[in-house]
Amino acid sequence: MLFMISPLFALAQERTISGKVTDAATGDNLPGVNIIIKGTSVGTSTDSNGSYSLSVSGDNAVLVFSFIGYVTAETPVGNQTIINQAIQSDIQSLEEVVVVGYGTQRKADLTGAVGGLRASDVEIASKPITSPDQLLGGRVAGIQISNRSGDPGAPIDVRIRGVGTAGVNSPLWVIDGVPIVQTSNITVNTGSQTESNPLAGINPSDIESIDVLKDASAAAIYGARAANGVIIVTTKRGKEGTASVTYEGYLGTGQAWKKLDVLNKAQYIDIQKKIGETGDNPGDRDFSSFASKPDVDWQDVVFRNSSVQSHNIGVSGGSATANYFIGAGYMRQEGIEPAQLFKRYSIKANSDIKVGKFLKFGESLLISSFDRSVQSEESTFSGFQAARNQPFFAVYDPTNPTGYNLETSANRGPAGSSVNLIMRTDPLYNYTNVVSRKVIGNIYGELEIIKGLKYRISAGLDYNVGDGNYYQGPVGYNGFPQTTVLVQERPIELTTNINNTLTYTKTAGKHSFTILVGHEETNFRYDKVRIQGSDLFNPAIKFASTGVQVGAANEADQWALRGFLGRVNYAFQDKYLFTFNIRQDNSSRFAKDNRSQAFPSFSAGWRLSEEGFFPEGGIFDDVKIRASWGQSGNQFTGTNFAYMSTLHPFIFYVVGTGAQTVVRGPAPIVFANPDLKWETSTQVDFGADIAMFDGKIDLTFDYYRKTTSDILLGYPAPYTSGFFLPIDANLGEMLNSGIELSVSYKNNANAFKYSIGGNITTVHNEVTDLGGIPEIISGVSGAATHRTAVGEPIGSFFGYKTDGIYQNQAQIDAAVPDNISNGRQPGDIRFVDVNKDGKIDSKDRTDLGSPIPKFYYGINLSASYMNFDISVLLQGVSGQKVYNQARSQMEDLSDAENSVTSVLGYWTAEGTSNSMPRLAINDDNVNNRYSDRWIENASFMRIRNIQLGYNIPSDKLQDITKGAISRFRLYIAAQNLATFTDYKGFDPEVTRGVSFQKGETPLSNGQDSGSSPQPRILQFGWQVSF
Amino acid sequence: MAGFILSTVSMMHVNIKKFMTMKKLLLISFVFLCIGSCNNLDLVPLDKLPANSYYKTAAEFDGAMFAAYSTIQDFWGTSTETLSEFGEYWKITVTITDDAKAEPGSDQISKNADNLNINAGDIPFAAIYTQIYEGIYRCNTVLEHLDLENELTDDEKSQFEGEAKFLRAFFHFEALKLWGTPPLVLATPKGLNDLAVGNATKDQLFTQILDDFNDAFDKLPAAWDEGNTGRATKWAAKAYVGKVDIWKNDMDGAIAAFEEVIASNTYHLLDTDDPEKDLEDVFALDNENNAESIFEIQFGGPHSDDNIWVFDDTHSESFKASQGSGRSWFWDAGNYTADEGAPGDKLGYWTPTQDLVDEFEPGDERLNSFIYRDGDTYYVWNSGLLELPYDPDWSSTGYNVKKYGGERNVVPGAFSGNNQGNFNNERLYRFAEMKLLYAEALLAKGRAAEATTQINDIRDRAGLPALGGTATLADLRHEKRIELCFEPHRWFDITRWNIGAPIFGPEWQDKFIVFPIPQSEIDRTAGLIKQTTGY
Repeated sequence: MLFMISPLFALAQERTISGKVTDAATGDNLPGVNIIIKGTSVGTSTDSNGSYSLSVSGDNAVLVFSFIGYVTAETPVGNQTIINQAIQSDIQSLEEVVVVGYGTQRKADLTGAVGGLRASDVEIASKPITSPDQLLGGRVAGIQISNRSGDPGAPIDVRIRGVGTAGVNSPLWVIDGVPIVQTSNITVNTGSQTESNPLAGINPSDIESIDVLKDASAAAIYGARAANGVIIVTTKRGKEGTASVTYEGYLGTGQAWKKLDVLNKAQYIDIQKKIGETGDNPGDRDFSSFASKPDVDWQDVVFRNSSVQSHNIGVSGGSATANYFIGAGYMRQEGIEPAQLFKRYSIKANSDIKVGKFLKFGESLLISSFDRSVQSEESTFSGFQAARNQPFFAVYDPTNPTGYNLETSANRGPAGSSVNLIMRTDPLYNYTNVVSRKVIGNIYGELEIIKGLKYRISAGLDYNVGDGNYYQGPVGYNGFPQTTVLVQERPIELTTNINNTLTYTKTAGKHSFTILVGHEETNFRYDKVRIQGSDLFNPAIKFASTGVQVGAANEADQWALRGFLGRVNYAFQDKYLFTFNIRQDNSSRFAKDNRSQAFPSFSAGWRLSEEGFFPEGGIFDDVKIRASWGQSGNQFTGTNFAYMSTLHPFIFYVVGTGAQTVVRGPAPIVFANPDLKWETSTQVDFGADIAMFDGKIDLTFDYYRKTTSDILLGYPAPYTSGFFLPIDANLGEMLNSGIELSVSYKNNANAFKYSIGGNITTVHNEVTDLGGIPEIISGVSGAATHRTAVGEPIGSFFGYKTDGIYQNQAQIDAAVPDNISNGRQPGDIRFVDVNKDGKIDSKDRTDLGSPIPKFYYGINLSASYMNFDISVLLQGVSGQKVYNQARSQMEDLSDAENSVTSVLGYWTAEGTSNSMPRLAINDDNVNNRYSDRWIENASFMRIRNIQLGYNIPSDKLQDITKGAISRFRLYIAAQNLATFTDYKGFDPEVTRGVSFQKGETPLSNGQDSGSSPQPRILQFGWQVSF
Repeated sequence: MAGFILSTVSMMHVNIKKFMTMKKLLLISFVFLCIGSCNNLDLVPLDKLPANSYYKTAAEFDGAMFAAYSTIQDFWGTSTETLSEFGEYWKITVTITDDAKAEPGSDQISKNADNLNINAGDIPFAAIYTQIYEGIYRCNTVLEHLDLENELTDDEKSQFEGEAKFLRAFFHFEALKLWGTPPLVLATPKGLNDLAVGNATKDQLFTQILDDFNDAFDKLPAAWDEGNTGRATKWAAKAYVGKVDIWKNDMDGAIAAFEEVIASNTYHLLDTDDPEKDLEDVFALDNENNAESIFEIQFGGPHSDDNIWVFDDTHSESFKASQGSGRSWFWDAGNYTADEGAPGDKLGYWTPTQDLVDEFEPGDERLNSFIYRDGDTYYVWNSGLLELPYDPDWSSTGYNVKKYGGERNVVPGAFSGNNQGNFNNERLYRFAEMKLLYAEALLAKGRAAEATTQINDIRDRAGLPALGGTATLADLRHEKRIELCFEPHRWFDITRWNIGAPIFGPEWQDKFIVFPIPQSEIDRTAGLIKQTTGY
């Protein structure tokens, strides 16, 4: 009787099934495998030991085991209570899908060069980064990421396969189908150091995957905007199954990893006295009266331990007809210098809904807001300015009503120019902040008209409202009252995008093909209002309009783009693969005759391993070779409407008797170039994808050769043209070529699993034609520090060569004359007569190296043992030079600011130095002229991230939380733990120098103006799944 | 476009029509077509004016002329946006001379200029050069548009031609004084291949400058209505003809021109026998464009925006810059050694030299009017008037400049909101200077007695007795140095008279007769422009 009842009892009651999931080939326990009861949303996932337990009712249930990279297995429960399931590794990842633009493609069928990363591989939410571009550094072959500054939220240079143009080199980012227009508009009143990364509003934790379209065959479908490559971001979406909640967060602290070694008080006073003695008024540099003041280490004062925190919560789930993901994030990251703070709130909501059998709708929505405090012009790069402060200049002065030590002669001497950076970054006296409120939204509808034929319409917008404020308080840094000033700027940007595509997929016998046709309209509009008020009614009310004097100005811009696109993918027997792309774009940015252009591409792949002759069971699992050719374009001229002659309305003069009138004098400020047209980049790519040893080794190799013609270039025109600003022109041709190699190896020994991956990219950049112009000499803020010439990389450093120091008068007498010099003495730098014309003059300036790296690489290590895991990312960049402008100031032997200790080796008599010249207050020989003294090798390798994690064993979790928590991982991590470099500045990661012209400066890049170093961040974090 | 879409759709139609209802096809066609006609690709700038719609009315030509005047303001402009200009014209015309000193706390370019450490790559040369040729471009723009279709009357055309030629000549003359053989630009560039212009010869420059000034004399009015005061006049053109003749060493031509100007009775010295008030009147904010002023660069306010960025045309952002010069910001006392520093948050970059002070004769009222010394009352604006005893410790020389300053000029409305911009006009060409140029020409022609009269007029206004005898060249040079100190003339006299060696001693090099052409222009023209000798 009892025997009869018990099965019935079991039927009525739920029972618990438990077991382990293992790799069928290796026998390893697999954590994180999803298990659901087929046809329901009930499920669980395996713990770190691969164990699971699940309540099941009835014997008819079927368990579905699914895991990325493995073949899904289904097992009927029957009457079993322990089900140990082995699942097959999908070693060729045949079904892995890559987003390729207006669609997806099986990775195995790809014929273009595409790289990328998945959230599951990277643990994105655990990285102390503010924007998604930072994820890519070191991880994807072909991509180089350089931070402009350590200030969180600062712009980042993303370069795919070298430097392709003289203007903006950022790739096109497409986020859930919305192409993002990246601008420098969200800023206020100040220079490039206050710019924000246009991607900083995007919470990296929302990202599911990033796919990078590197070669033209992959990118050409984005035609006019694809010349710099395309990065496609897909955010998280819900999956059919149980609802799950994750909460990920960390706390951390950042610090400077390097300080400059500067003179102490005694050394400073001594060297200044000696500098003074080389001039007519030695007293000007006599700081001996400050000798009794305490030593102040200004770098210690300025660099701080910053606090960092992040919280992300995500809810996802779905049924057979609808799925959803909802996420919210908060991040707060202080910079390691004062007045650097980044705060972001974000909300993400994605859903897909099936209506009937043929119709599907969905949306992606991001609402985010970031607030940044940035250093005002008065306190830019406080860390570097701190190093220049006189080492006796105090921070505080309790006897002063402000509490601060003021910037007066009494406190720093007549020639001193120390700045009180703590006062200057105190919001009572001065601040700059920038705010960005952002909505990126997209809605789509998809209709399967007949089997295989899908129509899809997708409409999206990217809306940005910025708010920038600059404030100057009622008391100056010298303690005297001053007029309050408030500048408020409200930039608004709106990009709308709508596209329609028809896709037809058909497999007929050995043939399979996909045809895509589509149409896309993109519209960009920008408006800005600026109000400045001075002498505010009451500084407690921060309204510029309350000023006694109020001024206002407007700015606006717009452009539109229309594209028609088509793509054919054809595969024969899954062996021979072909892709043909074409896009025709029409841009409002060019005159009617130059408005439209077609960008074709063609690529082919051959899966050798599918051939009959390919040895079965050898070391190779899968081998594919690919080749592609294609063209893509760039429409971004420096100035919109540069093709038409226009008058700038903000030029004024004054006329009249008595109360004079300000009158407007409209005039052109840029030279119109009616012939302006697309820049075209033509790229050839040969590649191979190889999997070996049962999927243990994956290897991808690419050779690329990218030629940019009709380069859109801001041509520095002769001043006699009447124009100071560069002229937008199509000029010349440039080549980028190189190889990319990425290799990964993964294996395990019992419970110890490990993988190692590496990638390396070489870049050869060369200007091959300049349209007859011999050379373009350029520099930040009108300086002449870089040259672009045929046969050299774009924007190479261009200056004088040095050859040691004149040790005695005889050497000077024997030397060729130096026209730049106003008088040479022993101890002065010997400049080289490069062109051997018997004199040193401006014609002796020469190529001093390039800021473009020769190669860059990344190494990924990860391992796990039992409940522990560790991962390491190394990133390296090699062969690039940097113009260390900061050091040129820190080694100036004439000024009154503090110096680095290397100046102590200055020349005093014959033989005392052959590199550090004599002290000379007037620098008659112009030893400080722009020369190879300031060009440094900036190669580096950085331990970008290291992380050690521990998963609380599932049985314990089960015990403690009664099953409420399915995963709990704790970790400690370090970002930028160590940097290996010979570079003498704060940080070898350098992009552009500071100026008021914002954006990228490929013609004069690689200049270190003393920018904030990358922080070293130590974190403690957690990841919890419910 | 519609064709493309229709054919796409119809292609689909053929392939699939048996599977598809007509309704669905129409739906798709509709969506495609609607979207296809949404965007307008014929966009126009939103914040700029298409040039082809301008240059039609007299008011528009006025605007085009004002654009050209505007570039002269920039000689003294301050902009960290372009080349990091900081009042560059003062550095290379005043700081560089024996009249002024760069303070220890001043910028490197000021110190370089003061030390005759002159480099082709230095900011002032590019800064002034760009403004000069920008101004010339704007003059040529006006001249070229006069011949195109517009609504101007013949009289208006003639007047604008005169005004544009006046300014074009003014700019070329400045270029000539600075560089000797700079380019002569008489047309706007039409294509990317004709942007660079090579050096002109001195003869070409003199001929063109005189032609333009003479043409301007023929076509400009003798005076403007009250609303347009400050624009170039007929007699300013003639006065410049004389000045250019002096540089050309055509003393007969100069005398003839100056005598015509004097005979016109347009200008006179402000001289009421009250030297203190007379000298104040010349530079008073409330007495701009006075009877002594031949050509004055207009600054005005108060205005809205920050700083003194009269470089309102090359900003990365659009805004209405304050139309002020940084005169008091640069020249008022900074804080040299005084414990409390000088009030007003001024830079105090440049100060009068002892050598200049020693040049004044006893009893010369100009010393009191032009220079602050121990015992004076000092007036400075810092969101309000500050009035306190002058402290010689505010300057390394014990002096500060008072010209254009003092009680009469430190008043509300004279400064921009942040106290840096100064709205007093620059008296660029005063009748006093013209009288001294006239005297110089007379001396050269042996007409010493008449020269003496001219010089004595100046001395009389300054409260000094007449010269003891007939004027010598030394008397003239002495008088000119005093009368025009801190105005941008002495450097050009030093180079023209070639008296650098006695003044500067071994520091002097012959190449200083002209400045170096900016290195960036040599770079930008790929060497088409040749560097001046010695640089």
